[in-house]
Amino acid sequence: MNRNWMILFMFLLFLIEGTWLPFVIPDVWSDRLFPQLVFIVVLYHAVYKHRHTALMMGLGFGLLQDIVYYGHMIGPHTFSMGLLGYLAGLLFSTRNTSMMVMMMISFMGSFIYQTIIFGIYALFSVQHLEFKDALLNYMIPSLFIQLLFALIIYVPMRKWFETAPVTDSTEDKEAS
Amino acid sequence: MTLFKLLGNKRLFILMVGLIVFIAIMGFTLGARGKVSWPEKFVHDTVTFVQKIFYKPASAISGFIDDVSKLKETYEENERLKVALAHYTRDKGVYNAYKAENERLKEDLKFTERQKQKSDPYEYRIAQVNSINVADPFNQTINIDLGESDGMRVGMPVISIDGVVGMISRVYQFTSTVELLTNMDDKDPNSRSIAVTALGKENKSFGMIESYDQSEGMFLMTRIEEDDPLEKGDIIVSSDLGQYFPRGLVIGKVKSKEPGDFGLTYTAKIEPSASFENWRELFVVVDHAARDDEADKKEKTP
Repeated sequence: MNRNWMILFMFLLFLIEGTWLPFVIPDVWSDRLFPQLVFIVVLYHAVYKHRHTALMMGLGFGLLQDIVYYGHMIGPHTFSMGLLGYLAGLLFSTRNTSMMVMMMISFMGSFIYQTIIFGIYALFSVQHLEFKDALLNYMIPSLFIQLLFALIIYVPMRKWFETAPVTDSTEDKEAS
Repeated sequence: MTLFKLLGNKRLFILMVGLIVFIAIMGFTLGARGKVSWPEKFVHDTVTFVQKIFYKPASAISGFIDDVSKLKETYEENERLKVALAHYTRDKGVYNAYKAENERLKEDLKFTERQKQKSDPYEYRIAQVNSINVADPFNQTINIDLGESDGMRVGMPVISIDGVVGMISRVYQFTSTVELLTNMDDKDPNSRSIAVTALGKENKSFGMIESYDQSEGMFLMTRIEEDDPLEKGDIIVSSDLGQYFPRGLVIGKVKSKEPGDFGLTYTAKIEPSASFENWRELFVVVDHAARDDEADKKEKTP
């Protein structure tokens, strides 16, 4: 039950990202800020829930993002969201991770996420920006938005995961 | 070595397989595909339908706030529009006379149906925006609520009231995805270029818009001949010499013109006339060929 509510919450977040955020972001910043809010929630899953949950959530919502905004190709968001969700869970899976560490994970995670997307598009010769330009143009401004969002949802997320049954027994077995 | 230890043999194997599968999927779905598969259609249509419910109130509120803050400008705009209207009514008489003469001459010269159709006015279909992609800087797309069942096709130009904003890139059953012109890249093999000319110099001026400069916010118009009369301030419109666009759609204004890379042709910077933000309604330009096909289809399937 709890997981279903979580999926619904993330789906709502995905909808809001595509429909309300364009009006909230000031026009001048519209080519500087590229928020990926759903990814932050995936990272929270990786740290406070389990890496397999994060992997499934990442693959699912990445695929949704890829299909709904299908421009060049399907796959980059699915791949990077799933992979990073899993890796974050593998590296930081202690359940009492502090706020500072969580913020650091969101910051670094988002940075690596954007880098992977940048790299995939460069590999398929869809974009030809220099990494230095991309970094200054949109990556760093976007990272602060990611960090801000991670900070906003920190308390509600912790509460949510504390009330939830910690991990399924099957997942524990797999982990050991 | 620690990475191998951390990941383990089984995990590393799965990671490798995953990587290969994803590269295959990306390569397979890259660029132009005939038709999208039905699971994609289903997911896309349902999700964008829900997004439309979210988008509408947000757009209405934002529009209201915009209108209130621009109330003062409205008076001035009204004055300007009155003058413009007076000009239009005067020009309309002249236009009608020319049109009649043009048609008579075509009749006299025995134009074929196809040639006559070329000067047909195209149709505008109003489309509502469903959602905007803000999560990906290299894939700037918006979803609109017209799809295959409304006769949409890949490559149709999409305009706002100010000018061209993009082209339809994927068509689903009830919705379609528009790729914005800000996505254009001359090195991308799947990117389409637009043949353009200058307003009022249609027969003398020609160039191609192939890429968009993200850092400056300008289109680059290339392949301009040396003796081209194009100059700063000219309004750039699409030309029907290209593959996808009908003629006369406003794209932007010339900001500067300088010799190109090899010195044989000139390159101009074009400031886009459409603002790529605050989407309200958009228009899809349907040309005569597509319209005829649609009519044929309807006749065949009563």
